[in-house]
Amino acid sequence: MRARSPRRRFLRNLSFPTPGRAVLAGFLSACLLFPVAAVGAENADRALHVLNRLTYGPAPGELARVEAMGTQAFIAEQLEPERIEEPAVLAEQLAGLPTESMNTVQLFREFGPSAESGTQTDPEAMRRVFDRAGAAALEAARARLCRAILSKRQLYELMVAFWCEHFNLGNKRGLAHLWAGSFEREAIRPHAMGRFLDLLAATAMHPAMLIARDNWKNVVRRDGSGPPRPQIDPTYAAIVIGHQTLGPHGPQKTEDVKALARIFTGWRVGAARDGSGSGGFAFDPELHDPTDKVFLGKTIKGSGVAEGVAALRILAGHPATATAISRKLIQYFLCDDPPAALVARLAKTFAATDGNIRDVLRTLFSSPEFFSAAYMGNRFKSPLRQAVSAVRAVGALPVDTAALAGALVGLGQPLYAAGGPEGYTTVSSAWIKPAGVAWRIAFAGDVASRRLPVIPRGTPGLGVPALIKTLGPGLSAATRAAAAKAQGEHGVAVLLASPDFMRY
Amino acid sequence: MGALGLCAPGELWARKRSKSAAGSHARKSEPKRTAPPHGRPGKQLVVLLLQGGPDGLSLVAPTADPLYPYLRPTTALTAKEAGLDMGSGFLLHPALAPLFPLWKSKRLAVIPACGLPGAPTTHAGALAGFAAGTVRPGRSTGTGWLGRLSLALGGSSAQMVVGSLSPAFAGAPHYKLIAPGRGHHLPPLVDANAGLFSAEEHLFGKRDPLDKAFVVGQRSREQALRAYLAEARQAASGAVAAPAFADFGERFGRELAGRRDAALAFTAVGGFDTHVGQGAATGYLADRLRETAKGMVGVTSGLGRTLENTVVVALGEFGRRARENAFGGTDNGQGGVMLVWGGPVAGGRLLGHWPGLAEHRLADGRDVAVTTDWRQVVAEIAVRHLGLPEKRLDVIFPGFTPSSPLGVLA
Repeated sequence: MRARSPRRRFLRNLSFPTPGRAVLAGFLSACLLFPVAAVGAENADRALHVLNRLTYGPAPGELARVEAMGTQAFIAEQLEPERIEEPAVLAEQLAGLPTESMNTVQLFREFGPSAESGTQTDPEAMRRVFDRAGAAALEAARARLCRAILSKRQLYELMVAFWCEHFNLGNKRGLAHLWAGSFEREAIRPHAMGRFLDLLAATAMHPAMLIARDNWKNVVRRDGSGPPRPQIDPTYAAIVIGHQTLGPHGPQKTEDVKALARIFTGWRVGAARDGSGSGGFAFDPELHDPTDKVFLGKTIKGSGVAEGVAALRILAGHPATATAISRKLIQYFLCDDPPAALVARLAKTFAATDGNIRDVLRTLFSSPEFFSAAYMGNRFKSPLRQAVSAVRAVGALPVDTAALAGALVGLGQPLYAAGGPEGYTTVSSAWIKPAGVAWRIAFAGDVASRRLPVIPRGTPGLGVPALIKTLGPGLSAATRAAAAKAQGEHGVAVLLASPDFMRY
Repeated sequence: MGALGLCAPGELWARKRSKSAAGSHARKSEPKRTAPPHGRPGKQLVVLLLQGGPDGLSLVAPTADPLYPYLRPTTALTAKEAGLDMGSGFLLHPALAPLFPLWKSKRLAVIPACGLPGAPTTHAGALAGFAAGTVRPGRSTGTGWLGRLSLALGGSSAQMVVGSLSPAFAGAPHYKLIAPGRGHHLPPLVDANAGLFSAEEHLFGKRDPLDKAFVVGQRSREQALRAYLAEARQAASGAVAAPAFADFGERFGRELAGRRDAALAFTAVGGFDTHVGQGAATGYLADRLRETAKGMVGVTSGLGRTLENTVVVALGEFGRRARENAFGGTDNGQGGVMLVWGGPVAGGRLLGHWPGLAEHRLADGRDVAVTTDWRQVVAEIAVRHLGLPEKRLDVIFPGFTPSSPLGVLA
């Protein structure tokens, strides 16, 4: 890890047994050995760190704001997104994306196969559905980028992104793709900082997840006469247990996956028979396995859809889930290799608060590890963070989020296109690849020169002095010197392509 | 400079044929000498091969498609550019402004997603396929489709006027080569970010994984760049460079006006293999388009009143990939754009079927699909304008089955 300031090098040379004492000793030493300006420098470091962790990156003026209000106040502010007012410009940008205000059922009626006058089995009609699905998914990507750049509820946006990967829909095209945006809005956003069980249940019952992970195919067929023919598809059950809750190293056995698959039979997409708005989820008892099941050592009596709810409750409340989610959150926000003690503390909060994400995050951000020097400034940005932080740093209104979404493809992280059950990785070092690094540098050059039309001409933040002020201690002296040496817009490119700006 | 070619008209090919080891092939084409020539006097077809494969998505930009800027972050045109609104959500590139009056006066038709189905995406392979008029080289007997067409129309006395040499008219009994003479050279492609990589070298250290990734990434990028530049240079070889064509077009057109006995004409124009720094409304491709459009209008004005009896077609050996590459350029693809203009053309229209840019609509998941075979267009022109009997099409384009007519001629 490169030391960015004399204070940090000093701290590294101290040898104290616990992080808490190290911080205290460092602070006292700083006060004694360095002038008052060093305390300011430390504030700037901490402010930058908290901006790097709780937002997609500093925007103009944010560093000064956080230094003034203090990191604790900023953390508290971000932990209550519902109290933060959004800028008007965000709503204006989103208004240009019509599918963003359509729910799952509306999208299906407007763009799904039934919108065609022909039969559903016509292959060209399905191809047209896929055309519209691609266009809708692009609008969803653009909306996500708009919010990531412009929203003041930055921590909330980071959590939405986290859960979208955790509950990844895979990269199959088709109806699940048509609903990529509505899934995020209906299943993820309402619960992103709420209770984990609510999030789990909302995703389990959403048509996008039912289609994407084949749970709608998971049925027991009854033809009247003859025995019922099970057509069990355990794909979704395996993913729920092995990736969304207990994790790959949990205590589950093969029988548990099979039992869960049988519990989930009959979970279908459709309009509810009584006409109530259920967002497209329909439980069909005719296709359900009504027997009792034993799941993770507990007996669940045959009771229709309530079995699934009970199973999800067992999973959400399981200690292995608390540990797995806590570990992943630490990996997402702090470091690739989460310290066991911190994982345990977060898991304890998870269990004690019935899986309240907000409380778990509070535990993380108030932990001594969070402000440990060992974890400052040494993570590598994901392509999404690289792109969004660049636009945020310049303080721009994005002109063309479609171009930015397209740039993400080259950078290696096309939105809503990750295969695999867990979407894009939370391990930051996994993104360090030669081609990716080269793309970032070209991206910086294209953004600064406006070959990539993301930032409007004449954006005040698009200048070397403005960027240096915005990014503060995030830029080393060598980087600032190199930017000053380059001329005009090239200086901005040098900053945005620097190794300092690839780290956070 | 005059219009003398590098060799006596026609002789080179005639001599080569009698000396060639493939004498039997020469004899196979003999029967055409005894068949009476077809063709209508005074009617002409001019073929402009845009070598390198110009980017259809830039020439005829689908600005109404939301996927377009997503596929082309630095090379997409917007609907606000000073191009020509062609309807159906397409914009004709602003650099082609000299052609706008031809569209407005309904003499220019444009066919997007046009190409040779199954053509390889290497320049050598695609140029060979273009010249042979088929992707199965064995069937073309060593002649080019223009050569075969020339023989079918005019027999042993058939004349052609050409601005560059090409195997596409191999087998033509007589041709007159009009060299463009000393003109402007093709400028090289430029990587706009090369300087930035150099500037960053000093900021990356030596030891950590990020530094190592930078070094490897930079080296790969330099290698790829060198390969692209070499390919683009090679792709233009044998053709008239676009900057030279800008001025050459008028002279070529005047020659065509004076040689109404030549049913066929051909010139290759080079400079379209834009793998690096293609640009959008302005930039490298726009500059080449501006030069080529000037040359095309030059041909048109050189033809003067004989434009009434002339059809000009312009197309590349292929189009380009839907998604741009890491250098702000585009790679070799499939479906491209074909321009057709002249007196007899039913213009002011987009012809053919647009396949769309959704991933499942792209050929091999990455190229604009070919929905119109360029041979269909040429077949209609050869039959209805030049007077070729329809049953002879199989000789010109072996293995090609005409489909329902596009209606490119009025």
